[in-house]
Amino acid sequence: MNFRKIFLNAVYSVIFITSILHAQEADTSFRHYIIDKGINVSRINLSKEELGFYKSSDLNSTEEILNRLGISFIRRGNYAPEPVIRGLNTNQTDITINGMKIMPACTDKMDPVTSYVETENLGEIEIESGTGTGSLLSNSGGKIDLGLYTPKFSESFRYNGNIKSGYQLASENYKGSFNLNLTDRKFSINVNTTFNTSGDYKKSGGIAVWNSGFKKYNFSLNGSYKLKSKDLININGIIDDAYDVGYPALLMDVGSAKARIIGLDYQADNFMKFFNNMRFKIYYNKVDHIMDDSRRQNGFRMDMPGKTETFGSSLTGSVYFDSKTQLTSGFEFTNSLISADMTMYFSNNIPMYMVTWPDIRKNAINSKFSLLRSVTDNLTVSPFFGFGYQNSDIGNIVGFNSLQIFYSDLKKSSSRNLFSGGVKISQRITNSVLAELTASYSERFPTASEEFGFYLYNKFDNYDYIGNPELKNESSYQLNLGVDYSKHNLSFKTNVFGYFFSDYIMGVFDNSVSAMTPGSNGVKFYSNTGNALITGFEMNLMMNLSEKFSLVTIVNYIYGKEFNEDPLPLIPPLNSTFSIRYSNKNYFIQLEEILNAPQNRVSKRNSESASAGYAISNLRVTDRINKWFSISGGIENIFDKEYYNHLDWLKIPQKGRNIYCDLKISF
Amino acid sequence: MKKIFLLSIILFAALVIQSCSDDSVTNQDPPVNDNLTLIGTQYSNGMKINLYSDTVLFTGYNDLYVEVKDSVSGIYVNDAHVELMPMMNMGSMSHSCPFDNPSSSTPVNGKFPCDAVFIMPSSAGNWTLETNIHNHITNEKASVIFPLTVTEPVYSKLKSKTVNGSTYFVSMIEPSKPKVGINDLMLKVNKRVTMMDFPNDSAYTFSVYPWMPSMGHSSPNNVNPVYTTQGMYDGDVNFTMTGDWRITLKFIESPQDSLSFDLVF
Ligand SMILES: [Cu+2]
Repeated sequence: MNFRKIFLNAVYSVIFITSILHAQEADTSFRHYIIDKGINVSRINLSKEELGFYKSSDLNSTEEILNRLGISFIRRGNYAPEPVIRGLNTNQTDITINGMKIMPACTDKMDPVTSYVETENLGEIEIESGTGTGSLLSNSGGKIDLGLYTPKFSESFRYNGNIKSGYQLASENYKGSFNLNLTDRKFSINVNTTFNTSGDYKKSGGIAVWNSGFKKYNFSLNGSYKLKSKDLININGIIDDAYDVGYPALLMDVGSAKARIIGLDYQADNFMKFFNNMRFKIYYNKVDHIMDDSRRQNGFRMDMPGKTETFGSSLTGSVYFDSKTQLTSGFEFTNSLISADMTMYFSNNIPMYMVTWPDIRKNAINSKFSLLRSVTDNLTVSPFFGFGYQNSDIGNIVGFNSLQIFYSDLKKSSSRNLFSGGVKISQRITNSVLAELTASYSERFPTASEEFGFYLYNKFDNYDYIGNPELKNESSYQLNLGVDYSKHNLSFKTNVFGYFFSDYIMGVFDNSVSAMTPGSNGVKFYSNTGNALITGFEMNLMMNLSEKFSLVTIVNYIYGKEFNEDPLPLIPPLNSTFSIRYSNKNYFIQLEEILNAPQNRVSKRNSESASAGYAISNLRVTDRINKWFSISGGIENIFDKEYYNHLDWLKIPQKGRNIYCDLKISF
Repeated sequence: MKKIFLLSIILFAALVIQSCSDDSVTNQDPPVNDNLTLIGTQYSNGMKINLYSDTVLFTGYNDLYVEVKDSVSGIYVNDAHVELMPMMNMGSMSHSCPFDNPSSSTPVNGKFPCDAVFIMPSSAGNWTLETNIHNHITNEKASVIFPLTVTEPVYSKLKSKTVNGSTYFVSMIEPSKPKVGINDLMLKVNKRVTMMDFPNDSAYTFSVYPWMPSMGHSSPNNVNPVYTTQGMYDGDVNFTMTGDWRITLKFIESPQDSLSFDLVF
């Protein structure tokens, strides 16, 4: 194996990916460029090699990689932050693992789906901002798909793998992993196991942030069998167990969070001589979340276990009608069960029991059709249309009776529909400039908490939240204009977008209902608050200054407001990342500057306060010692600045100066 | 001879009733009332009198059922006037308590429903229930006395309160089996006029306020009880979780006065 080649490939592939494509595409038409490569300005799709560039160290978490791709995070501790795409959180976006839907099992959002993978599991990451680009119907704010291992095959039986071990000083974080690949002409097996443990991290000045540690074990198994050249059967399984996770910005911690994920898929090219590609998937997963406050001095004890189970299946396929017209359709079915309850113990009183998610059984189907039509050699038009249906059954009688206190007409079974549709127009302006305009309408269903949650305490604004089964779907008109400029040494991508929401869902204070959680300010009901606007832009510049210097810059800006001109909560401030990398044959040095402007546009309704800006500098070095050993290390937050991000709950400072080092042994 | 004549009349009447109602019941036994507790049996003037209640008797409101049968044939007496007189003998003094006689001379499922609000447990004295029956079919009269044992529940279902110089007894009838969600709230209010006279009362209206003392929160959307009939008030009380609850009732016309019931489930 030529490691150096792969390594260099990793570094340069992102920088050159577009120019390489352009070079290849010289003798093919723009149409094929769009169709075959799936290039999309408002979509980021990175293969494992490309991810390497964003992953400056093997210690990077999935979240850190996503962060470099422009995703923001709501942090409630040092574990499992919640991804935010363009100011929209997981209520409005989907996070899937290899296309599989998974329902988080925490009523306090401690376990976004990103927390159930390790970077070692990842093959490729796909980020879709807004609706319009995927072949399956996604949530109104888009999606993040964490693709698993991409199978590779070899002419004869081969094996390779690696052992990684790393340490971070600021959190006493140790991460070790073992990765093994077995390949043959017909099959490919990948086994990975990772252990990740962290103590309380230290903020600036070496002061520990109490209760911020965690422990995590992850095991994944991926197998592929090749039927024909491009026809594969894949099986993927993940066991992910986290224990003793502290959430300093919440009232509760996690005793254990366990996910069991298994999926089987079949992909074929030229299937039955009709579909030019087809993919069928069937999967099951189960999440067990044990949340309690046994480490806290709350004056009482609370157990809040949550559980979800999802069975799903999807089918996507596309058909060429003629050389200029392609139809893609996707169907998906999911059946999921979402339950959570709470038991409280106050001194010697009898335990108090409450149902917070009343065993909601959701059966959902959705379908999407998109047509891709080449009008001219430089212009494609792609209208799309999607439909979704969801039935929710409340299975827990105690939970049903509880909600009836507020909604006397509550039905045990209810259903909802949604529609989405729009058009995407791609125009190549010159050989190196591609412009894309997407106009769409989309809706989303309320989440389990928004629809059926019962007295869910939110530490952010210190209110108890009650769901509202009478909510209307939240809808939005979305407009996105993207421009992609690529020349040999330069790639520049920018998007300007506007989302115009109706029936925007937020909690509204109701002073007639008294708070349940001790210390809470009161009760909020999820309501359709009216119109809201989210607009902004993002820029991504990758430049090769010389053979050895490369530069990457990302700038994101988002502006959000309610109908009444009040700013929306948890909107990331203007932020950017500059990184410059010097690469030599066997090593690279990278300097990063992370900048965040202050955020003064804050939501009064959500008791939000302004945040200061900050600048953080990081230095990273990776050295490939020889064929077998590679070492990387660095200093994050070099100047030990005390800082927090606007999206960090309770404004708990992030890590102070952090020195890390990791070693990778390959075989 | 007279008895046989009467019997044939009753049989005839039963046949007529059966043919009219097309009841599936074929013998003279009316359907067995589910899970009633037999308090006692007394005989007098050819009548067998059974006294039933829903559970063992306790301090507070108790539904009672008087069953009158012909002591020889066992045939239910379907037309009778039944009157109660509960009494507590405390040695130095005696007193009665609030009660309601059966409202009709026709039994329901063979039993005459009535009720009594025992205002003390038997530990303080001896409770008896004098029951006077005028059998309209035989025109016989009977007077029997049932000795009663009244226990004190763990969580009191009866409160008394002196408001503007008068003493009121407030019984909490429902929720008898509290659950998470909306619960019926049913109260009965009696005024003490003398030690022997406790008429139903509708002078006051109430507001209901449930409270969880351990956590310090209430529950929403409760419905204040409104007067219906016979001293009864009907409303809703909501519990958002299991545990210890306190239902506080405020006398709306006398806002400084209130009383509360504790319950745990
Ligand atoms: Cu949790």
